[in-house]
Amino acid sequence: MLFPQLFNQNVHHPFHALEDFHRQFNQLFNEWAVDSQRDDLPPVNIWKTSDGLALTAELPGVHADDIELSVHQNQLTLSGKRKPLNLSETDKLYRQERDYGDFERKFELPLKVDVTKIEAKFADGILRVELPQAEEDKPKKISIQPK
Amino acid sequence: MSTCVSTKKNCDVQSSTESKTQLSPYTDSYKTQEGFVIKVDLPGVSKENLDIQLDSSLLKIEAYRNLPKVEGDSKLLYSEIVEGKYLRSFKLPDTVDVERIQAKFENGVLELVLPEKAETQPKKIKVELT
Repeated sequence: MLFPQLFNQNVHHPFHALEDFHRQFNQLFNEWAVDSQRDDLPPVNIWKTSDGLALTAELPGVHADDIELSVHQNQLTLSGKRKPLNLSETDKLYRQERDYGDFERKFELPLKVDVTKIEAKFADGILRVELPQAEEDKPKKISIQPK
Repeated sequence: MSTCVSTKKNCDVQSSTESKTQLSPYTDSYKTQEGFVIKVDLPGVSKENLDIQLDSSLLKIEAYRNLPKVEGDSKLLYSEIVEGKYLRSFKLPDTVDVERIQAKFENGVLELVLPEKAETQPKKIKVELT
């Protein structure tokens, strides 16, 4: 048979080679992206404080009004939106590395938080959230009565 | 240090307070009718820690970012944000009027407006009808 021979996979095909290259390249890129800081914006630090927990998040160029924080049971959700570049029709974009659009991250809190006492401040593109531990969740001192 | 960011595993305070980490800030750039605009993400940087230098046509941005701290006695449990130095340079086209470069720093974003020299702007030529 002539045809199967022709379409044998071992036959060198320049376009397939190119496709393979692209696939490998994308794979390489994706693998890198999974572990990169970019993958889940915004990057955060989580702290244990004397009063409970605190979270700091990088949100450069985001307006305070566009940031939303919510706590449901033990899950803290940080979401919001970064407005896109305001380009006019005659402007030409050269390079875009900054991310725009909606973001959302969820965090499981290892302790019970007093929702009424959560405080958030935003300055220099950094969000600081204080999450005080709920009174009923705090360790209790038990006094021992002398006999 | 880098493993702390790239693997996103819990890392201790010791490794996060290392000060030599070099960070490349995310940047957007575009051309307007008047010149160029560069936007640089520099979260956690205060104005005092930001340094912009122009050496002939090389524009260098250097900024120091301290670890965003929280009030009181605290211990880092999980870390993706590190302390370090932001560094990025841009080669400016000869058409930029360096005398009129403007910098604005707001909300952790540096915006540089680089107007072009008047003579490089396209001129409108009026065609008179005879």
